[in-house]
Amino acid sequence: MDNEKKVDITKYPEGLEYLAEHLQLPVPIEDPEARKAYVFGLIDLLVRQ
Amino acid sequence: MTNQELRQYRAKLFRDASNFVKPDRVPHMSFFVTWKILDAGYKLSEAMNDYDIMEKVVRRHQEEYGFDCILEMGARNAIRIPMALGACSYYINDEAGTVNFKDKAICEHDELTELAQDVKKFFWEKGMSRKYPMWADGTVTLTDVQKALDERTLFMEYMGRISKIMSEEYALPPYAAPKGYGYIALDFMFNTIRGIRGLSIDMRKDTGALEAALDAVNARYFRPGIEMLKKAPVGPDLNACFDYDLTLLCHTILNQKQFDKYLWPYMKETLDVLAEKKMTVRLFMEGSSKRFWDYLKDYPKGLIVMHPEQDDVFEIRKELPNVAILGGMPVSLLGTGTKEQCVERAKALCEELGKDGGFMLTQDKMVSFRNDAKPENVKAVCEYMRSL
Repeated sequence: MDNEKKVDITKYPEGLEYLAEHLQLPVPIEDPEARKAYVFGLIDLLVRQ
Repeated sequence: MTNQELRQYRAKLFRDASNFVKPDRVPHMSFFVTWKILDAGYKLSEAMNDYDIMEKVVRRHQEEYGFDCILEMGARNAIRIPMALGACSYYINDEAGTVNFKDKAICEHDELTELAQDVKKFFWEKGMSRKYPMWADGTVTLTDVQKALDERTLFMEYMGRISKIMSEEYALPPYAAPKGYGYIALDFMFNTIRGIRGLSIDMRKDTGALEAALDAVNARYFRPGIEMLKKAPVGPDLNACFDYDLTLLCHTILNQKQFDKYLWPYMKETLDVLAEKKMTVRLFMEGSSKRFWDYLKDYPKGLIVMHPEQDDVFEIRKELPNVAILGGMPVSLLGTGTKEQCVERAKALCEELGKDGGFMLTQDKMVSFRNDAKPENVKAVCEYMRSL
């Protein structure tokens, strides 16, 4: 999985775009905006924790 | 009664009490958090890291005491998700039986303008860096983030499972109906973004920067939730005890002028929408909220259920006869009193505040530490409440 790393995922928005494309998410790949929202939901939670 | 009937009966107890209709009996809610882990004989770290153990803890809590609703079912300390990235703001001390939260700001005062310009970018780059060393030094990998995501999925699965179990097997109604939730920016600043000390400084220094940041955070975290609530159908969800939860901490450091400016407009908007929708909100304001009671005087009965932490429930009834009360049982009494004293307190509360509705019994604070409550006292109060 990490061999595919091409961008610095700690940078925004490129990190978000990369994660939304490469993470295994319960959101169809055809819906990139929903995938980004899903990933950002995780970041929201992690920032609060 | 079947479990379904019992669940509906319990929900109705809360709904009647909230609406100042005399309930069949005064309902009793559990506000026990980490105490129930220790009471079940587990270490905090064991239960907080193992959802099967947490399920046993919650099941036992109900089997042992028999409440009408459990407010917290193991969701409060979701430590496995942040630990997937190697850090967590909670410190667990198994020997002392304590969990403490580190008040660590993710934003400095001179970064408020940057936060205001792009909240998402700020959280992604600076917020995450300040919480997680592997994000700060750039060593975080796709696999690490996938682990955190998987942990969130496991947590959500646990929450779905325990809610179903407690509903179907134990006939407990959900505490609140799922609705849009607006997170007021000032509380977010207080809890996470700036911390207690930082926010106190911000409100005295360069308030323009704070206001711009609050506007940006409200636009992202308050506005969508309140708009969703506005679109909800009118009327309460009678399957749940309440419709909405508003828990606030930041008012404890505000003077009247700051409350008027930074917090009340958002509280008012939320309460006004809920009143229009004929819904009921549990309002939990930590510490004392007495300085702000005047703001609540004109709302109709049935809207606000106040859960006070430090304020006297008898004084609330006198000053706010339109507000129902959830609370009244001091943790200090459960921890140091006798069974007889605890039952006497419950009896006095039910007789004086609950005879015509408007009162529900629960603990005045999140019951967290081992010495917060003696099990025999909790059991005695629960038995008394069920006997009413």
